[in-house]
Amino acid sequence: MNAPARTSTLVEILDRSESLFTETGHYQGIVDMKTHDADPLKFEAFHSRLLSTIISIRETMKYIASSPAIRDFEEFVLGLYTPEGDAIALSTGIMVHVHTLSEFIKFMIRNGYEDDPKIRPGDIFENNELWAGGVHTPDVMTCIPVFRDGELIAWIGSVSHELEAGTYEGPGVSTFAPDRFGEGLHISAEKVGENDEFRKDYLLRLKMNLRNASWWSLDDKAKLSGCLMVREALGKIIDTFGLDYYKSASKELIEEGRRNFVKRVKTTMVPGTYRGLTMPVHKRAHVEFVHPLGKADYIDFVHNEMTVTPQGTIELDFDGSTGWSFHTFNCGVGPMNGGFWITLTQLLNYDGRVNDGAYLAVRQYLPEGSIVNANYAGAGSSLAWYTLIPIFANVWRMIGISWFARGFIEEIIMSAPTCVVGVAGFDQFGNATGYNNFEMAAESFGARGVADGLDCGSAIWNSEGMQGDAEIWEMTGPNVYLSRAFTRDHQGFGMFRGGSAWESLWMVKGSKLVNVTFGGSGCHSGGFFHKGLFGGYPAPGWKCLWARGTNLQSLIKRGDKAPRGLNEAEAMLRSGKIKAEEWYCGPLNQWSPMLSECDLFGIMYQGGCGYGDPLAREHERITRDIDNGLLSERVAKKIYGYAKTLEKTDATREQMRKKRLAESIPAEKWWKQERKRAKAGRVAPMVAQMFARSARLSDKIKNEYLDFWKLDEFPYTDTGTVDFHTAAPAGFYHAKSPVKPAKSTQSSNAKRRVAR
Amino acid sequence: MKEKDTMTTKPGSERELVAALMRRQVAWQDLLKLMREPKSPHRFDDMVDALQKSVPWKEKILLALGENLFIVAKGGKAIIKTAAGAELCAWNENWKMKCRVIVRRTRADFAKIFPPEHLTIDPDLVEIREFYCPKSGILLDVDCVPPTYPVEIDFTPDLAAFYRDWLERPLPVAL
Repeated sequence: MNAPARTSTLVEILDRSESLFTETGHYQGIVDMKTHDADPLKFEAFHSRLLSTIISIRETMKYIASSPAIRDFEEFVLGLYTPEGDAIALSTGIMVHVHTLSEFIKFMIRNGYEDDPKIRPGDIFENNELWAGGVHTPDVMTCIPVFRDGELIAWIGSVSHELEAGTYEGPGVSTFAPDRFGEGLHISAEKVGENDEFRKDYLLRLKMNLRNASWWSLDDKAKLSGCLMVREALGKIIDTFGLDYYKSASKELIEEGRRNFVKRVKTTMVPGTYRGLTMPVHKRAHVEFVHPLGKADYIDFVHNEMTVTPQGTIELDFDGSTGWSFHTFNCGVGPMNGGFWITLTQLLNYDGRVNDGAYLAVRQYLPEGSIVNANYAGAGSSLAWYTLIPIFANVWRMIGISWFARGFIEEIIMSAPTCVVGVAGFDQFGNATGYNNFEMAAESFGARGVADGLDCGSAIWNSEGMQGDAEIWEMTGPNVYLSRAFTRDHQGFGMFRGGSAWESLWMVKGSKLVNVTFGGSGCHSGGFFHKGLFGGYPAPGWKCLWARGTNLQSLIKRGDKAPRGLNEAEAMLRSGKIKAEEWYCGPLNQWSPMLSECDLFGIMYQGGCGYGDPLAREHERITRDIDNGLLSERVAKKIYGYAKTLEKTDATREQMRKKRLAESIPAEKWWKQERKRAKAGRVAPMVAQMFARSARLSDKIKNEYLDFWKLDEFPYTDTGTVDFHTAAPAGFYHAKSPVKPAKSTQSSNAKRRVAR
Repeated sequence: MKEKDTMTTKPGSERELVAALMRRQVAWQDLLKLMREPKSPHRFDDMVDALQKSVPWKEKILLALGENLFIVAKGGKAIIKTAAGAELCAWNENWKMKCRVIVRRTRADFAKIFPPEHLTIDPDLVEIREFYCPKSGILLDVDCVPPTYPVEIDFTPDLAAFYRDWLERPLPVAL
């Protein structure tokens, strides 16, 4: 195939697009929607053709893919992009990657890929590189250019989550590599195929660097097939509508997406500043085998201010957050943009016009060097999600405050942490294996403004996520399920409760060399996810279990009872009914030793937060939870004031409210007492170090602290870590965060918000 | 678990529907319809009307900050008032510092609100602060923060821009 003839380079096209937006505030400078206005029905038909094509092709791709993640659990997405890399239309699935693909295309353009390695018809590009728009190694992007008469007119891209990515410890995500060098196979924005076929050297690279290359390579082929099918269908659509119409209408779709977003913000939200914090905890100093660089305990504090501007745009500012660390929970611009994208698509940009237009109406300020914008070239991001999920779930909560203020309570929804189990070692067929069990994609929601959180819902990162068939996971790895069940009394309490926690328990089957790793986003190692809304509580935390050298086989042979859940297994281990040479149940020791036949492992997936005062919970909802086995009468009485009849419950609640008043103290009195502690900084070392690490990057939290407690001296100076600085990677273009302007966009005359 | 229909009568007007919505008495199928329909430009006024009728005081609600917390107009100024009638502070001040508070900072404290068998949040690292209406004992908000973290409010509205630019009407108080 010949190289394309073109009058403008892709860099020039991208430059022009960005300048037009800067100058006019409209995508491509489109003030009048001429194509749309000339024939709105034709415009709608055009969009429907694009959208239905992409969505239906995605369904076909499932039957080409290999891994359960795509075939059974919806962990992929497909999209169409402009020549400069802006999303026009996309499928359902892991929407987070609509914008990460956009960053990948722009990365190639900005780094001169047109000249070297050249962008030609039939080329295939692939990426999972943090610095090129990727989030972490298992999220693999496949992208092709589309040419017509020698001109690059579009890009088509697809992303899948791979269960295995060649990480040091085995599963697709690495929980304890100190940096990127233990995270597995990096594909750094590379050309991996020509003439519509993957290159043999690339496929060999997959084969030799992955434990289970067939998942990745066959998923690659599914993605490539999807891209090629869209390319073919796009040709027919352009034949029908004409190339000029395609070009103008696709741009207007994006501008329309931007306008609709601003309109929706102005219709459903309230301008102002919203605040929240998350603080994932990672304890690993006690782990003997962790790498010395990462052998430390951290609180990754993230402060988030969301400003809804009078113009109807949204800005997120993370000033005050702590710095990146030698672990795999760091985020960069790409992951943060992806995280913001899933928030926008699921909450504010949910109609058919999901495209990059919404992205033009939002902005994030990510302090360089912080956990949300790590500036070390070797920073690990294999579990960037453990930082992203609580951050953007917290943004969901903040948007809920806005919707309440505007009256749209039916829209309020809170998400949930993602807890995960990874299995590694050798499988039941004697092959090396490693994978994450994606039943985690069905974690229970947080509460909504009009209903309880869905029990066993979907993850924030994939609105189509599901638990899937247990049998699929039993075929995938050397394990059988002993149980998968809801956990009684484990929910974010509130007028509307968060979705119930649920737990899975497995027994090793068919292997003598298996180990497991666990984790929980935000709630890891004793942290919490994020606060609830209007008096709702967070859930009480997650936990994991492993037991090595058990007597389970003899128990089963005798016909004795096997555990039916994680909590029951823990109780049986404690009582000695199950004997084990070594076992753990809790939130800290997330790495098992080598397990063997009939050993145990399990995880409890916690749900999201509650909404409203628990004492306002409808009596009928309580009885339904009791009847369904999700709540005990003991806890119902303690938390909800439940007393079987409505009259007795009302009376109990009245007493409980009086008790609250008797046991509480005025906040100002508490402030006087607490100030002594705040002045001395009498807190746990990890907390003291967290404050000091925040102050090392920014004065924001330090100044708020001094202001609030009326102190002259900040008591926290020891960061507990080496004062290590390093520069961001140089020698190539990578996306950067804008720096927040000195003046706030807030037009109110609000006083200092922490002033007493 | 499937949501259960709790509404027995169907509202006649949009305003009645919103009043029922604020009481959480809209049938699930009607809720789904509300979610799918274009958002009504009257919703804010309908919601404020419903809330105004639900509180035992007369001051005009300017904005709802939560289930039981409002910015209201009083004497030409905007103040924060609870549903039960406790007047806390000016609209843009830290209302939490005018509440009553229970602070939980030990495992024993946490175990009063969480079943101990499920509790894995580390009280050395996380403090739970419950802010109560000083008049009624209604729980207004629950903060989870590292110990000694300043008390922050979750939302400072841009009241001027909201009324002037978005609702296109004068704000009935001086800020």
